[in-house]
Amino acid sequence: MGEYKLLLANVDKPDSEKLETYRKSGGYERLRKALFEMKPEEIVEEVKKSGLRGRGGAGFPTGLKWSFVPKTDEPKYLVCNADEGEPGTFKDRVIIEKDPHLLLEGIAISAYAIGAHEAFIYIRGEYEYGAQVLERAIKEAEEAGILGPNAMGSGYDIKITVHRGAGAYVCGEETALLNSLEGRRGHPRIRPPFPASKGLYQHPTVINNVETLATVPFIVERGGDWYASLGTEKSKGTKLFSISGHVNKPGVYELELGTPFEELIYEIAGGIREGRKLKAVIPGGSSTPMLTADEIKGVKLDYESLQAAGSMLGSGAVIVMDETTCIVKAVYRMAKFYAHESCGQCTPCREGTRWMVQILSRIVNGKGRMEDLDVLLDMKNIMGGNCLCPLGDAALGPLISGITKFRDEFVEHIKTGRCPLGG
Amino acid sequence: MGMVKVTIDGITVEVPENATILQAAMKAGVDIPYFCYHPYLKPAGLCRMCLVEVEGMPKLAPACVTQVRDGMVVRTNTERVKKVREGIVEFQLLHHPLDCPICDQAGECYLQDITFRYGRATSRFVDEKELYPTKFYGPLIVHEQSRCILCKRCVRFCTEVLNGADWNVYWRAAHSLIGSYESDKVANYFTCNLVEVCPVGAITSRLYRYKTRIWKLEFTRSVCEHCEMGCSLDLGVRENQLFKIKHRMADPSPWICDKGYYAFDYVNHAERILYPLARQENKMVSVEVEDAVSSIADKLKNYGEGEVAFILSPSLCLEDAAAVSSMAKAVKGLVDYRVYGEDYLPVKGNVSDIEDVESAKAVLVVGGDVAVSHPVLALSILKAKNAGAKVGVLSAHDIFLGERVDVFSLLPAGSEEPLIKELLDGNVDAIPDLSDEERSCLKDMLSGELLLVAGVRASSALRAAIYSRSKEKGWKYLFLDRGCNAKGLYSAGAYSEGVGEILNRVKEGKVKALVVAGVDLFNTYPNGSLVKEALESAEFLVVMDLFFHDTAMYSDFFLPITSFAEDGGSVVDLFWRVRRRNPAMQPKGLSRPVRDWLALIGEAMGADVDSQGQVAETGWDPLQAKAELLEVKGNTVALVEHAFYRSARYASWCSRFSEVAESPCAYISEDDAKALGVSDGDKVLVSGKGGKFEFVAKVREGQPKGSIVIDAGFDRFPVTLLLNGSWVAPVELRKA
Repeated sequence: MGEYKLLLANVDKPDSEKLETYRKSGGYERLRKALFEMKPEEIVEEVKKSGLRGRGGAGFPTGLKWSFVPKTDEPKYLVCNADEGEPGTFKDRVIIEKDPHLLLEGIAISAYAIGAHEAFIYIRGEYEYGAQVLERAIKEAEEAGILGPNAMGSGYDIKITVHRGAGAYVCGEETALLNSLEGRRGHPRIRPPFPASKGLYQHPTVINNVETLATVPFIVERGGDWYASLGTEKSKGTKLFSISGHVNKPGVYELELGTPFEELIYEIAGGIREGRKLKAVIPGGSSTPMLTADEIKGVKLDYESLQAAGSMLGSGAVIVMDETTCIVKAVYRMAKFYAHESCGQCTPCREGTRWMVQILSRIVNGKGRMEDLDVLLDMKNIMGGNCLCPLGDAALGPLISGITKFRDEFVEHIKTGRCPLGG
Repeated sequence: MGMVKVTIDGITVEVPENATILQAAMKAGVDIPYFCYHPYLKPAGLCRMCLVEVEGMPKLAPACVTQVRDGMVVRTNTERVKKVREGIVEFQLLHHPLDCPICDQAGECYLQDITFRYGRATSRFVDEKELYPTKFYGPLIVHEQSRCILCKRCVRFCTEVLNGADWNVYWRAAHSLIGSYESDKVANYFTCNLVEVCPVGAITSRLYRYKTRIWKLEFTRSVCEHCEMGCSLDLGVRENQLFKIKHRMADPSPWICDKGYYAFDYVNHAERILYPLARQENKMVSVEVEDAVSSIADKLKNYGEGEVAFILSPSLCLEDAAAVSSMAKAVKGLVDYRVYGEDYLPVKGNVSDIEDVESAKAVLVVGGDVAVSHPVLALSILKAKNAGAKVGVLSAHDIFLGERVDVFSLLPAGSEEPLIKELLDGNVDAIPDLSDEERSCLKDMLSGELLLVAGVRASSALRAAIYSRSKEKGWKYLFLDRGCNAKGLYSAGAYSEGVGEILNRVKEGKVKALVVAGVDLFNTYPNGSLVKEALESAEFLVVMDLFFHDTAMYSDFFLPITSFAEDGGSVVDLFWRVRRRNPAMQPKGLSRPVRDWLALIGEAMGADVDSQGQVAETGWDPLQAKAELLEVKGNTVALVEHAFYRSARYASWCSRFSEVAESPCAYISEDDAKALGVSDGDKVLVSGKGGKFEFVAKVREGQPKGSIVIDAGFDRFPVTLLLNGSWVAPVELRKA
């Protein structure tokens, strides 16, 4: 357990984004192996065996997702979700900017595995540099005959296109992403039909996160069994964690799943800033319920342990808050984010997120009422699970956990009309 | 389709396997509240009002989008569902202005009804409401964003049914706004459907704004009088005033057009003539009914065979037409309804229903702008297109349908008919301005199963060509007529040699007495000078109508007739079905239906007037057509067409409706515009045989050089003076 450099093996090399550098460390040999030595079904089988789960946040088994694609002649698409919008998450950016060819190789192999000839990288609008890096990398790879028509002389065509989003968080939700990619408003679609049967342009589509796709070459190279030997029994492999907040060494770290939470915070990330005490941690991006310092004791960083602790691994975005943090303000700030980013389609999310902000802003400004806490907690009954896409539930994550775990702080704000921390 | 059994609140029903829970609940008689669901739009699952509990599903399921499974057990009466419903209603009302007392939707508002039935009595909301300003989108609709619940029904109508219109959601989240992006005026021929689909008071009709409360209106089912589609309408009347029209029955289509929805207020118009008038020297004075009737009867009695003629509007009802025919027989006079100068009669097509149109594999529209003459038919054609049909529009003028279909070309006005004839003969290359893709699509259309729609402009010769070619190829064909009851007037035998022939005979003095019912010939007959000469030479002229229009100026007697809202006549629709109207209000003043006036006059003359009409078994055989295809040569050839918002019956007396078309436009080609040095919005002068008229230039892409289209139907703007019997004429065009 602990740090394990698989995805991040190349990123520190000079000129790591260049094709030449990438090829020196065996780059695109996995694609060659896939195209020439493996059948698409074999790749799907290896990925299934590896136990790889979606690294975007939901943790859906990747091999299983691929196997939903119908075996028909109609066009199929692979979409790489690089709309890394979850607050606190910046892990994909490292791969995109520092090791773009790893991602491209992963995309090419995965496209071949599901029978897609066209793949899109939907990258968030703010990653302008990342988009440039990817475009340059695609050009390099196409000029070298690795991508494009007749990839590597295999007779299989793989075209990868970079598409920049326009800055909406909700476009990271896969069906909203598809709408946006088609040139429509980034509104999530109603499911069913699922993208695997009717996705982009109403054709079967697989949507995977950057990190997920970048893992595929290693599974092809060393086999699913090898990958499954990393990590815990139910959470296989390694995972990128982007740790931010009040730690001494914030950044992106690759850990084997199952590494103790405290090891990440206190050893790898260098402990809490200025020797202060830990107050709360958001373990997997702002949508996941926050955990208190007590709650993370003995918890391991893997899917099942965090679920048992009442939160989620999510996208692996650890936000650390020390004792100087006002939780009411933090919750308010996050609620504002969700109210701003709600797509506005479905009633509970649209109205609930706005109301949350109105109430929290009153509490922050010393005009709170005790009834407000009941109203805020009741949001869970109205919004929880009742929205069209997961954004509504995401907005509830910090709100409900914040109020239940730090109720005293809220009550103090309401009763005294000011922040006990002086914030 | 297999059937499955579903149990909802203990009631088991059998429904098709592709039904949704909501549909099953409707069958079971269980009320599931909803805002965004609409029976004729794709389900969207947005409002989350219809969430229900399904056994075995951890989350609540939106009933409008969740398909049923066999043996599914659904509960809508649990505490959990009740709480969520209360929550959603509370959420919807958070920023709602609660201005029901001044809202026109109150009384038929989903939000109001659902709040009463499923909401909590109080709200926990103590913060400030966010309100938006009211926005008027032209004369037809007004939009109140504050009342909007963002169900997107209007947006979905525009995308799914209109295949795109300038109406969408802007911004995001709770600040999402519905509206148009480019235009301050929304009038797309089908604007009224936005009002009709809106479940709350966010989009309302300006015609009905602050007029009355919906529960004060008494609704009577009737049939629209603006075209042959025969859309079922519900007329809302209060104190003998017609206030509102609703389209509650999806008959023939769930949608209606702006003509049907907005062009009705002439019924209440102050300028309506409600008493019989008689000429006394240069003045028209009000006279008693008995005096008018006996004077007219005395006059008519004195004319011999062929000396009396009747010209009728093609929108008169079947009974009126039968009465006129029977009267004409009694006085051995002539009768005709083809007031637009048509040389054709109604043909019975081999399309029996609107569903035949919607299920067509390919549709080709020629010889007319269907969206103006038969608006709802254009929507059915689009529905066919959305179901996979290829659709083509080849016409000298088209605004709505052409830009939404696969093959579209604007033909030169003067040679439209010969070009279509060539196409029918198999020469696809004859059609100008088509891309290769369009050309091959058109070829495919002609080689397969096809529905040919002949617009109202198509002459008898073109109809004959379409008819014979369709018979030969096994195509379907649909011939459109002007007016709302041409088929009925034909059935009643109300036709002879054409209105032009009657006018010529009046002019020559052969016909001495003329009765004109329900129509202003200066607006409809494509030869204004002939109408003028004829009316001047008529010895005796009786006009029966609602308003004292230009034709009535020449009358010796004016008899007030009832509008469609006051009369219970029948009309024969496009598919030869008889549609019956119910009188929604008392006749205004002394107005009465044409048949009643004729019965009185007949009685005074001792003639028996019969108003029993029957639908004809067979239509006209177009192969009898004697005329040639219409071809007009000239440096500049103009096609005169009524603008949509001037094409309704009595449009001049429909305030808001006719306001949409502000000024008459001339559609000119880019080449002509360049040559004249005019750009969009400049004034141009069109001069011809009978005068000189000023138009606002609209430079149109695809408009052929030397061919222009000019608007008719405007008040005090008799462009029919430019014409000579057909709607196409050589003119001169220059910059004003």
